Amino acid sequence: MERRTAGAADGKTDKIACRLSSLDLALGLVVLAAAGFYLWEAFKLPPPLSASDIGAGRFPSIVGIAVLLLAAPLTLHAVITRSRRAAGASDRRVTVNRPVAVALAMVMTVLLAVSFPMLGAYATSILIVGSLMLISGERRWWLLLTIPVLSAVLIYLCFGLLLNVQFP
Amino acid sequence: MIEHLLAGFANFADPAVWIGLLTGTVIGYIIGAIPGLGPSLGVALLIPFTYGVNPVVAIVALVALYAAAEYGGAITAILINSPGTSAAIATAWDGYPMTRRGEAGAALNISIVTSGIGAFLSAILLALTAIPLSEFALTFGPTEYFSLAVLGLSLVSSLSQGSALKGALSMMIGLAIATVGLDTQTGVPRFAYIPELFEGLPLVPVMLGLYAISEVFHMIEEAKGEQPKTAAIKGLLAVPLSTYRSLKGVILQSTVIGYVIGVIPGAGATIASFVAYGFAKRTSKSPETFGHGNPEGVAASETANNAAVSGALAPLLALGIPGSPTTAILIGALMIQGIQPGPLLFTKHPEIPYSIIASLWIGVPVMVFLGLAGARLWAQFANVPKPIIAGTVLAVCFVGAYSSTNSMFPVYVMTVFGLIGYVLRKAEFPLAPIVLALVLADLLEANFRRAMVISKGSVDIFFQHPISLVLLAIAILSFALPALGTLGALVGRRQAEPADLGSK
Repeated sequence: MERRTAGAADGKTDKIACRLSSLDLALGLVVLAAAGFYLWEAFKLPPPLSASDIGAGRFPSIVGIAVLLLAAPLTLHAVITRSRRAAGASDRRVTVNRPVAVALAMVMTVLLAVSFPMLGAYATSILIVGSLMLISGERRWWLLLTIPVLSAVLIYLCFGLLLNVQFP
Repeated sequence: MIEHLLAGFANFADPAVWIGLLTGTVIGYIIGAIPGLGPSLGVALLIPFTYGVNPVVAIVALVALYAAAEYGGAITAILINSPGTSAAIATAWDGYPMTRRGEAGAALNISIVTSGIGAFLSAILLALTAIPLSEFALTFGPTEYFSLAVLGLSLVSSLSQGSALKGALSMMIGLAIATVGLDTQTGVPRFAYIPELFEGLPLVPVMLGLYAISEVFHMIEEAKGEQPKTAAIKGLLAVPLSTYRSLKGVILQSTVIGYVIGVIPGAGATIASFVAYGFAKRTSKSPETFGHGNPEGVAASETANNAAVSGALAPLLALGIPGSPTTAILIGALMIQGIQPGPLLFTKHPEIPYSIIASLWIGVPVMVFLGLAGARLWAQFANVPKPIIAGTVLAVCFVGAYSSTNSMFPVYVMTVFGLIGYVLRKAEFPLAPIVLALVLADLLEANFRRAMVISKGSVDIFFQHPISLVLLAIAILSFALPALGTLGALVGRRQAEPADLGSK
């Protein structure tokens, strides 16, 4: 994975990039492992109750085998592409712009999902909108103060008042 | 049919249905005008607002949003050469050159009016085809239903952008996810390691995660980029009637193309607009002006992408098979309301399909009026900073997911699928097959098991019924043809390589 800083209109844009084949390989291996576990669990499902039925496990077993059969060539293709790259074969790049901001947003999303029951819907909404705006690069203080509160008010009007949803 | 259709129109006597129509149209325009947000995300975001709402009001609002969002994408395509939706890419090819010539108003007018005409005419085609199709589908047995679901899934996977292998893998991953929960026939828990999973993974939070949360992360990547300001709109209402007379042929042919392509699962509005644009160019008296601001190009693309909306609704209403990712999400909305789409929908819940057809007709003047009257306003939404949109979308997703069952589990599911969706999009895995598989898995498995019971475990049954055989043959071809094409291209490249090397 490469990390670099390129010039952009707003100053400097950070980005990381990796080869598509690398991502395919990683995903292929994850899917293969998950499909193996899924298939193992599917085989353990109880047999059919009557001779005419196929039981709860047959359909998941077929699906699991199909996932394995499709993930295998994807992984293999990724390995071949990586090995041929040295010989000049084309391999596209996958770029993530502003990786720190994206990672921060992901962490914030997970943290706020976990703290949602403690903080309640409206405080969480204010924190979500405010933090996402800040992470995304918004620096105008009046927008950072008003938009999160307005979003929470909108959510209260639609969900709390109109649809009568009982939030934690 | 006429009686039910009149009842569909009569539903509009209820002011709540009008509120649904207007709300859906306005939100659709806004969603469509903001680059990055499309009809799928818009419909997924609106679903939480429809919990507990009358099903007719809910579905009218969602369909209005779908149709208006397809049009809304044209606004930014024409004004700043940045299509709000992928279906408006072809609109930008001639719409933006018109703007650069100072004809932004005319381009917007043509796009709004032709969108309206496309939606209106295709709704007639929908009424004429969906109802007989649903009656024909009543004769289907488990084998036909199974094959139909396989066909729907295979078309969506093979027609998805990018690698067909990744499309197929996405589809199978979707089916695997859909098997989580209690087995509906035996009550055996499958992959349900916690009690919350007994009912399976909740559909709407999964969709919100895959489409909305992953899009939020994408917005953060682009948030600091320069946002182009929309051009001034002049001459919006100064388009003479003679312009439309000259576009008559293009509008009619694009309606038919859009509708037919819309019916094919997976093809959708984007392919419809490209095909209609290409056809209009081939049949035009001045094909050389296409791409340089020819109004025929704008009309062809916009008519077709709106006609595709009705087309995509036909298999949904008649067969319970979604024709596009957005209609797959619409199925989720119907299921939340306790309504199962399919041929029985016309007999069990006639108010739903007929209200949809009526809303498409009634919605046209509303859409055209709001489009023309609010064009300047909709265009301004393209200027809303991405950080604000990202934050607001995420907040609505959180409360929307929570509201689906008034519990935290859907919020956690949505968050996990948001992260998965982002990674899958980066790896160029199409998301539509996952959503369609989630929607169609029950139909697929239940009918597979029924057919196996009938045949005493023999799969020959799927090849003994002619309709089933034809459907499966098309499903196989939909994968085989692109694969053969790729193979042919690879062989061609291999043969060309030595020649290239020789020439160097």
